[in-house]
Amino acid sequence: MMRLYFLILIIAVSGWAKDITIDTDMAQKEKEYRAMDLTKGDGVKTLKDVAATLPKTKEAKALRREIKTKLALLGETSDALDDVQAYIIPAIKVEVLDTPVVEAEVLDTPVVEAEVLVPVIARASMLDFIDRKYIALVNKWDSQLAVAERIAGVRNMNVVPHPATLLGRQRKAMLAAITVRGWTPETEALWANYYAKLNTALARRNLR
Amino acid sequence: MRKLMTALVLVGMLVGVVRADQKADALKAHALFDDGLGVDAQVAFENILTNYPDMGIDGCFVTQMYIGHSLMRQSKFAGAEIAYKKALDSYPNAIVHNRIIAYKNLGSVLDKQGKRMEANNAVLQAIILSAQNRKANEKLLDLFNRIKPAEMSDAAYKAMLTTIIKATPATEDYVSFLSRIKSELEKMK
Repeated sequence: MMRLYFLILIIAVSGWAKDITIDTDMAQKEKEYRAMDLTKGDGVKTLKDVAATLPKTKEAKALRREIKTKLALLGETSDALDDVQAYIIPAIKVEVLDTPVVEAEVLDTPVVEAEVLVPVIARASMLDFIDRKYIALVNKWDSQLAVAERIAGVRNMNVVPHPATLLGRQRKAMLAAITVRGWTPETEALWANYYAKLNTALARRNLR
Repeated sequence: MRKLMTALVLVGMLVGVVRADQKADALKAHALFDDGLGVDAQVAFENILTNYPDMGIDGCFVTQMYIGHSLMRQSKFAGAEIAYKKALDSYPNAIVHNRIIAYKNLGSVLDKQGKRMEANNAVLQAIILSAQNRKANEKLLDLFNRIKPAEMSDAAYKAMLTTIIKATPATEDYVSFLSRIKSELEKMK
């Protein structure tokens, strides 16, 4: 009997040690990845090479998702990442373009301290090439993140439910609706509703 | 032993005096700058760099930047450009946040001179640094709004957007920013 207990103890300790080794390996791999300057050389090849070396474990999932997202944005894919989903990065579509407006009072600003000058110039130059509606949409996206944060909190809003769950399906439908229709009162309601439900679900889980 | 102690105390006092002088000179230079006296401020900051070369990388970097600011205040944009470039080239290990500000200001001063492409590239460097260093705490969208694509060829702008994607962590924290970059890419299709 004593031997059995001893054997179980050894198995448990070795399992724990293995977990720690995996965590340490992943931490090291992630550190190496973060230290890479992908803007130099063939960044896409580097990304694919890194993806190929990562194990298909839950510890590596977040990093693999990140790489898949980055490759998708660059119009690339990697067979090594077939089993993970990329983050949804919606494109903001603009239907009507307003004529660029240049605010005279901004451009007439006399020479001021560089630190002060920077935002002033930025504002004027921004209006040179981006229409107001576009900026409004981008700002709205930021404000929607603030809504999600207010409803669910930073920690909860970053939790992604499993896609097979009811909440996961609701999230997918909501993001798809926003991608297609943009920010409308209806999609905003979907957005707020989803985060409220997510918050409730997580609160329920935390009570257990 | 007593002699050694005396020598140490004297050295300590000397260092204290030098630091006090350095602080006084720095305060004076900043006061001149705040009062809008660009020429005097420029000279004062140049003197600080000459008189206190041992004030550390970040101290030197910021002082060099203020030489640029002072030149900017005098509308000497070419001089300011040189000053900002000197700060970036001479102190590559200065803290990231200051380097980002230097690139931003370099972008502004280049833009003032009509050097649009160079200005865009300076802003791109600020974006890359900011994206690669989360603690830099710079708003990437604000930085991106400084870029003027109208001044660039489609190929150059696309290459710039691609570089930004490569530099930016593709995590949920950056969805909003990446969404903007993706939108710009889609607009080019």
